[in-house]
Amino acid sequence: MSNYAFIGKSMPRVDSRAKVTGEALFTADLRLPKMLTGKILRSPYPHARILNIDISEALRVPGVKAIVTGRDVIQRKWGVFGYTQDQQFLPADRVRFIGEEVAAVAAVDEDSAQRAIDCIRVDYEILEAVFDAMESLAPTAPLLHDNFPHNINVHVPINVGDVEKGFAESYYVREDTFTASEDSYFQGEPYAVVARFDTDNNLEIWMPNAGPHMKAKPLSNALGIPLNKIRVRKITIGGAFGGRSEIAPADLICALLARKIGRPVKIVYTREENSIATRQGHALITTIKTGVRQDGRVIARDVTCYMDGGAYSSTGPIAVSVPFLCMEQAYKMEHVRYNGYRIYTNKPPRGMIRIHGRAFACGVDTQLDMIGEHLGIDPVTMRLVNAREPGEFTNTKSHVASCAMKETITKAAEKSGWNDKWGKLPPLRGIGIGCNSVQTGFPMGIRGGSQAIIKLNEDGGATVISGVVDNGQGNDNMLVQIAAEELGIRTEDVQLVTADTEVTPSDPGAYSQVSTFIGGHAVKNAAENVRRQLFEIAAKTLNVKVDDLKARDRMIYVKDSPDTGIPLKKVVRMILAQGKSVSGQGDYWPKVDPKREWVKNPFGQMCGAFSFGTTVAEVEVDPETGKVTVLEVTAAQDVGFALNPLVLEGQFQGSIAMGGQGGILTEGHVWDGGSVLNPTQLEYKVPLACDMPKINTIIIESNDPEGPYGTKESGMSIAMSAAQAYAAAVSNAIGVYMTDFPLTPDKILEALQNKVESETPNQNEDVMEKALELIVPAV
Amino acid sequence: MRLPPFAYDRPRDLYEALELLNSYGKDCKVLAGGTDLLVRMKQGLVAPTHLVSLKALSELAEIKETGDGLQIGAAVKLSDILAYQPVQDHWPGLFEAVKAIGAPSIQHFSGTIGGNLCQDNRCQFYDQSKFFRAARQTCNKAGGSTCFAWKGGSDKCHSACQSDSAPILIAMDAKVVIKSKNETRTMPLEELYSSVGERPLTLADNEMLTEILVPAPTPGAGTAFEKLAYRSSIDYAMVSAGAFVQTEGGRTTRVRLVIGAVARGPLSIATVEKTLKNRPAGDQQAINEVAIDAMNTAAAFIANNMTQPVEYRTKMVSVIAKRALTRAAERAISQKGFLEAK
Amino acid sequence: MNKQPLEISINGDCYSLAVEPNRTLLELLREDLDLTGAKEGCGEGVCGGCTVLMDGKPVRSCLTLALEASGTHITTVEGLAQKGELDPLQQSFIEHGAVQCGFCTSGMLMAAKGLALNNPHAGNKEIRNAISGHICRCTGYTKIIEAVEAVVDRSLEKR
Ligand SMILES: Cc1cc2nc3c(=O)[nH]c(=O)nc-3n(C[C@H](O)[C@H](O)[C@H](O)COP(=O)(O)OP(=O)(O)OC[C@H]3O[C@@H](n4cnc5c(N)ncnc54)[C@H](O)[C@@H]3O)c2cc1C
Ligand code: FES
Ligand code: FES
Repeated sequence: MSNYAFIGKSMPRVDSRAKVTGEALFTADLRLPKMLTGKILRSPYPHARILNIDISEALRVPGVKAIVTGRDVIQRKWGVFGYTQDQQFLPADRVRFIGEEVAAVAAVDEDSAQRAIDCIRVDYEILEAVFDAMESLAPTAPLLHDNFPHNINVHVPINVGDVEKGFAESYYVREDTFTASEDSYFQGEPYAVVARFDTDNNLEIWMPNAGPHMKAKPLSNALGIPLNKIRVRKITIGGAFGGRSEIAPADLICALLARKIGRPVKIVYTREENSIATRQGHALITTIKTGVRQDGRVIARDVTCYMDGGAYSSTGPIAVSVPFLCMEQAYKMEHVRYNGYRIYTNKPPRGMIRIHGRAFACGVDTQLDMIGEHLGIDPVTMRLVNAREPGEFTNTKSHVASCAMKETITKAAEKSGWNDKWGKLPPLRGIGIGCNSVQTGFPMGIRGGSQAIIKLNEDGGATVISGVVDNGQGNDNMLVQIAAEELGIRTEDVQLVTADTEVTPSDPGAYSQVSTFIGGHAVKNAAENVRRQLFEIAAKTLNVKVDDLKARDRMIYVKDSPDTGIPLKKVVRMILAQGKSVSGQGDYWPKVDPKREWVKNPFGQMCGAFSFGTTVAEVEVDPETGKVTVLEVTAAQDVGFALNPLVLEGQFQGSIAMGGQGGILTEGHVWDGGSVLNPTQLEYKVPLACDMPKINTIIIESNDPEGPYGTKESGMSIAMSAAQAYAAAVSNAIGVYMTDFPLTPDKILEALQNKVESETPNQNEDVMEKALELIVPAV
Repeated sequence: MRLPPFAYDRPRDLYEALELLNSYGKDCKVLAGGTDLLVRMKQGLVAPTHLVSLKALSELAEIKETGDGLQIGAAVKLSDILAYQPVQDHWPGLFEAVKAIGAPSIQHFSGTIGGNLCQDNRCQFYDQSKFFRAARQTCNKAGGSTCFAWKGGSDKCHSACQSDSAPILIAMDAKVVIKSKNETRTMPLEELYSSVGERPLTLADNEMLTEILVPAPTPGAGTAFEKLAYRSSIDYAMVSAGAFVQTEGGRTTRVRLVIGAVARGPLSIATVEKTLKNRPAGDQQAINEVAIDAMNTAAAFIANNMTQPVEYRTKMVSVIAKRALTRAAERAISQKGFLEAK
Repeated sequence: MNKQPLEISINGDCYSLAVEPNRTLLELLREDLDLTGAKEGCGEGVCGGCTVLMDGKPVRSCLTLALEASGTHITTVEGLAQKGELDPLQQSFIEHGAVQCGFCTSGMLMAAKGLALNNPHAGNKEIRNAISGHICRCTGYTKIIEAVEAVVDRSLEKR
């Protein structure tokens, strides 16, 4: 293992120099000759029929060059899946949420574009709207889509074993309901698109994306032009976190404007637009019924989950399934039933976020603690008893090859001082633990695999061509590390051509945590291929067998005699002199069950590998204000193998900030009907530096047999388990199990006060007041 | 986000500035640090045709200790107040309040004390984009006739005064100097606030705040500022409190408590003096009593103008008031400067 | 509206420009001068992405009129490196893995630079305070704080 030159080493990322000097260009930084500014007119109504759009006055605004409306688009609805096609971009007939795109303008500058937007007259017939998932299910609720009865967008039913029998056999059974409001990505970079067409009708387009190929195909459909004319270009991307994976209306709109006027167009979203008109996280209501043996081992679980999906499907079937999958991967159960529903409401469409389904994940772990308390079993043991182990199958028949879940639990517990703290902390201090597991990849059909091409230049430098995209997590660096390692060159010798649909072969994108597992694997295979070509020539020259060779630091050596070697560059030149190119291809296709489908057949191998994470959090609650101070957080993840510990630590820390600190303590949208009241970071409380706790990170390696170098995924199962740990720690601190997320101070205080009231005999008001005073002396 | 068009003046002295204010009248706004005003202009909440910059008015940028106390020019930057040693030594409450405003790189180096006192009121239904507001009726503050923040609607605007420095300065009996081309008036700071949500300041269109006068510290006095927000930086207060306690021989002789962020203007709690006077300073029971009074007083004003629940903010008034009073009393008794007291 | 003259020094270069009163410093930098290192993450003063140094002090360029910067020295992230030599803070951000997507990075660097200039002995608490008005969604801040701490430490060593 330690024999690697770059793999497994903490190294600064190759992309950071451009970022610290300000040279890295994000989409909004681009400027092309003759470029126009685009602006979008959005629906002010949550549900309305569009009767007429009058653009005549807008067209007369000086500087306006083009306007597009629903009349300019192919009338064909888009959906990530064939059975979820429900969204017409730039709808001509009906809008379903406040902020939906109605028309767009391209003009010489932003002011002119805005003036024109203000001059577009739209006649609407206002329709009844519904904003709550449960109300939306009612027979009297307005129907959002004619072909989706009861406003049920997706129903995922899973039933393994016999749950009722399991409950009957259980020593203890309980049922609890957990809820959470909508959360949001708040990526650093607000959404932006630049599009231009050349005279041959080729589209060049830049936007933050979690996979250029996932953008290109739907764009080709929506524009009615062949895929090879769609060139999604590489650009620096300011975060994704599960967002930005599929086509966004702005992509099409920007392209339509550019095509209509024959000039490049740039659309940059305001922070508000990024929050209300790009998809965000779901609100959830999850009811979990669990039956256990006396030793805490779960026999049966029955989960029903309602997700508020907003107006359109987006990644609906995936979103409904993933919280369940994470649970069944992390914890063993004999019998399990799941009914997941995604319900349409007149709110912006929702999707998967880094801690997708926080009410579900936190519900599962909170309930384990409730059960543990009843049985007299501490949380760590509860988790160890139920933790997934290597070699097992999940309930939906995925084989778990590598798994160090138990180790993550014991190591995190040890490092956090769990045994000294559990049950021994002073009042209002609490400690909690959470465990989770994340899939490395989703079933993706023909886009499930990745291919890479590597060519070597005459000076021994390499160009790596791969569809892998870097959203900020460090994928570019990962590719460079792998290529340099395998080819035996230095990282500065590697040039990347990535995430450009004109040149790079297909790739599943970064959306499902597969960049290393699949994309990196393909690059590794390509590099091995090229290295073999080099070794064949070098072996002849050095008079040894191919297998005896080793490439390192720009040299090809004989393994046991490091003095016998030949510069790699020289071998390249020898091959070139033979009239051959030194290039190679590699691909990787995960060993998943191609027949597995989210709704129709949720059984079979889900993905190549699973990561496992445990987080322990320790908190202190201010009994007067309900505010939480987080003292220390310890996160341990089975990442398979740590390609770059420095990058991994950063992923863990970011995951704790987003999953725990923000995701459980402060983040959530507040609504007034269909209007988001907190669309900016001022009132949507993303965590700040001054509030972050001390963080310990523990990397655990289980060396996955399939992953490149044994690698799986980094950070995601920390984000999820951090949410669970924070929730558990707060509950532990106040002695009340919290079930509605986020746990803002007002809710914590209310729980504390209710607890005091309920613990106090009602007839004796004096005692009650005294007790209340203890908690809130001034009230 | 674009700013609407306007004309810009940078007068070289106060006289010229007041002259400009006088001639432009209501279409004109004073531009200090701009960290409040420019956000509002971007959101289309105000659209002055003229901005008069205070940038070149060195006479407003001075902070100094005089025999009468502290004299702070309206255009003194927040960072200059924080760096001014006498403030750290003798006016810890003011130091705490200024430090609590937003975040260093947002306004400490560009925002001014005058701008902080003169910032407009806020409401979650008003401080939003044009797009947000266009999707609903126009509210009182925007020139319409409804209030979304008040249950059942209201013919008054129920926005909140969010200035962090106002409560403590009022508690310390600060005065302000207001100037127009033809007139200078000096008045208690609290009179700057009209308690009218639509137009929260009593300044005339041609007037400007030029100075803040803070009385000299007296032996046996203590001040403190307390603020509650979900995050320790950036956020506006959900509730804030400024407290001043004067003691003599361990007993409270004079006390002021002003609650911020809950009403249309800073809310002075009238009953404190009655309850605390002549009681031992720091008497927790008396302070609790006052804190409850403060909560009850504030309850009549707190509107649904922030994303945090009204009931919670109401409850928190008592906690924040208690903490401010307790700390002010501690400081009064110990007579320690800020740094030691912390 | 009529343009007004603006004399300004940016990263050591002096400019004599004419700008409209409603041009923000951020727009001037990004759109007129192609200095796109400062980012617009919100336009309303919240995110910190647009932070630049004005006479050595960190300010939000999205809430600063270009004309208000008249006569001042502005430093943007592009001006941190001197003659191709990275500023120690830039180097430290790279080495400590303080950069992920990089969108917040320039603002963070400017806040950190402002701190280093004004308080070279800043401790952990002061560092957190100095960057508390800067939102980073990727890093959880730990490595950013470490990166700044390391530079402050180094400046102590030199003494
Ligand atoms: C993200 C963010 C967070 C914030 N958080 C807080 C917070 O926590 N606490 C808080 O109190 N504020 C906060 N603010 C608001 C604001 O930044 C501060 O109040 C700041 O002190 C305002 O000062 P300024 O000089 O920038 O004011 P400006 O914006 O220049 O002025 C504000 C108003 O006062 C008027 N004005 C300014 N000076 C004078 C004068 N001398 N005479 C008459 N009128 C005058 C202006 O015309 C304008 O209407 C926040 C702002 C932002 C963007
Ligand atoms: S863009 Fe200026 S602070 Fe966000
Ligand atoms: S590195 Fe992405 S926002 Fe900070």
